[in-house]
Amino acid sequence: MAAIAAGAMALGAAACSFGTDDNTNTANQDASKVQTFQPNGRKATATLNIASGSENREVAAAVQKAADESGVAVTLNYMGSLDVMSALENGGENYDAVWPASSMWISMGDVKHLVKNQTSTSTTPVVFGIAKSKAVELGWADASGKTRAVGTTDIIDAVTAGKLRFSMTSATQSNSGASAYLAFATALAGTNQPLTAANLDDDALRAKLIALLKGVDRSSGSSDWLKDMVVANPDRFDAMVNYESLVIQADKQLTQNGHDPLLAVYPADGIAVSDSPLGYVDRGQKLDAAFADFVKALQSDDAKLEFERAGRRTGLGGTLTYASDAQVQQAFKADWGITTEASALRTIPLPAADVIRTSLDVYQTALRKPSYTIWVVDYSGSMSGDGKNGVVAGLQAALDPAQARQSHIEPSSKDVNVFIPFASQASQPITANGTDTAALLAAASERAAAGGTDIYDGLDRALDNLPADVTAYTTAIVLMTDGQSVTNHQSQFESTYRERGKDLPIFSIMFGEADPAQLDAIASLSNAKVFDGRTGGLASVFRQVKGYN
Amino acid sequence: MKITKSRIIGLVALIVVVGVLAGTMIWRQAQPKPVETTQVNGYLGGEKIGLFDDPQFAAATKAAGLDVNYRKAGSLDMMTADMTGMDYLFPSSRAAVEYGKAKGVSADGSDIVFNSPIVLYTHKAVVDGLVSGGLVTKDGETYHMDMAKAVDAMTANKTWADVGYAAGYGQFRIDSTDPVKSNSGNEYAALVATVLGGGNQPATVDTITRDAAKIQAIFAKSGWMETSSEDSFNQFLTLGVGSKPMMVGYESQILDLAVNQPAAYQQIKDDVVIVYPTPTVWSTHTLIPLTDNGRRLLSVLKSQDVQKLAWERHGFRAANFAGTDSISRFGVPSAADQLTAVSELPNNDAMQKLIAVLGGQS
Repeated sequence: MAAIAAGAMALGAAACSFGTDDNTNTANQDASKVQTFQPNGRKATATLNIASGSENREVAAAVQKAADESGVAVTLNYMGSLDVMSALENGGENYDAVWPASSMWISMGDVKHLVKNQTSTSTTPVVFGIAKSKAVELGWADASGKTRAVGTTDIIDAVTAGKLRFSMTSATQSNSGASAYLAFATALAGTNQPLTAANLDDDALRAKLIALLKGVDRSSGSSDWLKDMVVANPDRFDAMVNYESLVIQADKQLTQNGHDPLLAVYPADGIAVSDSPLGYVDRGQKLDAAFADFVKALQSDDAKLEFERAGRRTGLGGTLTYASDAQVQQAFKADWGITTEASALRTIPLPAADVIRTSLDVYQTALRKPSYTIWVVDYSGSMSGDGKNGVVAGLQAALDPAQARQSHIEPSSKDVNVFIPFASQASQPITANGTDTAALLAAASERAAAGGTDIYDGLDRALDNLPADVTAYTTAIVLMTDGQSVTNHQSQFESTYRERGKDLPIFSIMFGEADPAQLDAIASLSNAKVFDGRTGGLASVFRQVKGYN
Repeated sequence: MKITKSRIIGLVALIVVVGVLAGTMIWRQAQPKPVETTQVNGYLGGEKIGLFDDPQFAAATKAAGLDVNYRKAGSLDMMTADMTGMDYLFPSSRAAVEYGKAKGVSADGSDIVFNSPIVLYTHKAVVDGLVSGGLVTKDGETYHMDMAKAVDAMTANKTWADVGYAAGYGQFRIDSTDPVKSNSGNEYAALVATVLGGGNQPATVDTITRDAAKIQAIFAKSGWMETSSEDSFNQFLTLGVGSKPMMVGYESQILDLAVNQPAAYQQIKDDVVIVYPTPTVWSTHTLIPLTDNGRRLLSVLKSQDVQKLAWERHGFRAANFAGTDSISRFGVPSAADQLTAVSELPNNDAMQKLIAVLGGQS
């Protein structure tokens, strides 16, 4: 039950979610990051600690069923698929199993041969979800929701004409973004062959990809959060690249709220399919029997039915196993553009592993829309010591090109980073253009921590420093604070934001004695998210936040 | 003495405790003495996991005093993996053993355990197209791919539509595992090299040197390659015809599926077919013992019981290239009892050259 409570909280609070319910086993867990599923009515025989893609939050019902049936408890640690790959490269860390969105991350990460008994749990294609009215306006759908074949060049044309903007996860942080990007590149290369390193050097292909990625309105490190963001503000976001299963989840929520559904559009010249593999990580911990029991239960008819009700396909060859179930039909609805015909899934041949790595590098450094990030950082007296050290390490992890490269978040030559330290009031901004972030990082390190806390003055200053054309960048403000703020500038900031904040996301990093209520209000105002830096190290949280932009 | 309620409870509790203790002792005595088992660990080609996870196999090894564990690794990949604490390597071909020798792995005491031919897996719609296009011939329920024609078509960059399968995306290709890491891809590469070399005898260093660019081009068509035949087969089944129209695998894989996952097999049995390449190559699954425990495992694997189990429940043909009875027992219509056209693998120098060509070191 604990797990369900935490899950419901996570679903309910799109803008911000962290566990505060002390009656649950997930107390002190950020439910958007960690969820534990206990078998109902009996003590667990074992607990499996699983590194999982964030999209699996949506199949909680199936996971709970499998925990009940197998008697095995599981803890899902939600992260991007690339983090799953890194965990394997690091020897599996403390995980008993991995569950990324696609098996390519296991194959690329499992250099130490730790993964065993890898099984696909379900499949779902990566598609465009486009608000019905928008799709009709673009001529891509008729009033019944039936979509026509849309090619990648049609999408570029719509972006170039200023008719389409869409949200998509970062290709270097999340499988849905990476898969979509690889599918776009393969389709645009037009060779009818897997993408090659030579293709990526071709200026004409690069120009097309840059034109396409200009359409990216907001980025994210998590497919699931991207869906939540669109659902929370459908008037602002009318298109996203995401899993078919998350388009289905979004549509359930959107239609319930009286909004236009997103129509699933399957790019006709090639798409990628997520196969959601679950594999045991053998570190000698001897949980393979528990793993086998859990997987067996996850593949039982009951659990598979729950997968399909959540919008995943479980039949072989991308088909549905329970097409006649009423709730499955409520998920795979033709008037949401969903088609279960295998012919709609024209899958691209994936490139070779080294080409995938090169593709991701090129995306991060040359092709993605540049980012404009304003770092509003607390230097109040209480930050002195651990707090400040953590912040400096965090900024280095996110902005020092050599360090950031390890997490595939390094700045490109067109990125802009603005640093605004604040205490009782905001200081002058320091701007770093491109990859030369040394002066900014030196300033962050030299500045002493002293004085009070006024986050609103810091944020107000950030709004004075927006780029002239915010649509030229994926723009975000990142606020880091360790204390409760004075509020004399709060209403001024809020009115400035409504006036010229242009719906930009303000992500907060909570540390020390920060007030969750203040940060939640900022997250809902700007349809963004609060990251909890109180556990697990500030540096990793800064890195994660950068992955959202 | 007045018998109070609490006294009754106490008495009952005592009787229960005594009863449980006595019962436990009787039960303990009735149990056979547990066999002392020794942990055995090693690297295993993924296609043999079904056998190693089979409870009957576990029982057979346990009876011999072994508790067998494994790590999944490609047949070539395992030759350069960390062997600390490992008792055996169980790759899928002699070629991998030879490759290991060249990397300094002693093959002393190694032996062939069983065989499985390299086959192609595809879908009904694809095979029907290829039959009409002339690359594949149908003989009763079995299919044979003319590898010379197939290699020609790939070299000429024919599309799926050109070779008869109009619904295919892009160029005609046969997906395999990574030929530099995994055996099925490696043996398929040997087959391609042999066909390019003229086909009458196995490819040589000279023919491979001459045909290097063509061999590389054929493998470049596949892009992403799994490092395990098991993962590759599962992907083939899961993602369907749009993703992997045709793949290289072991004959045993579908036979294993038919026996051990009948529900899954039911879903695909009218769609997925075996196509035997002409010629094909035998995959000779060979165990290399690294320790005494590895040697003990080898003798269990060679025992008649395990050989029978490997055939009947997992589709591995015995070391003499035949099963113990007809392949029809598996109920896979496209499976063939007899393989007529079998090519020898190129010699080790040629295989090394092939790996260098495909690994980009030439």
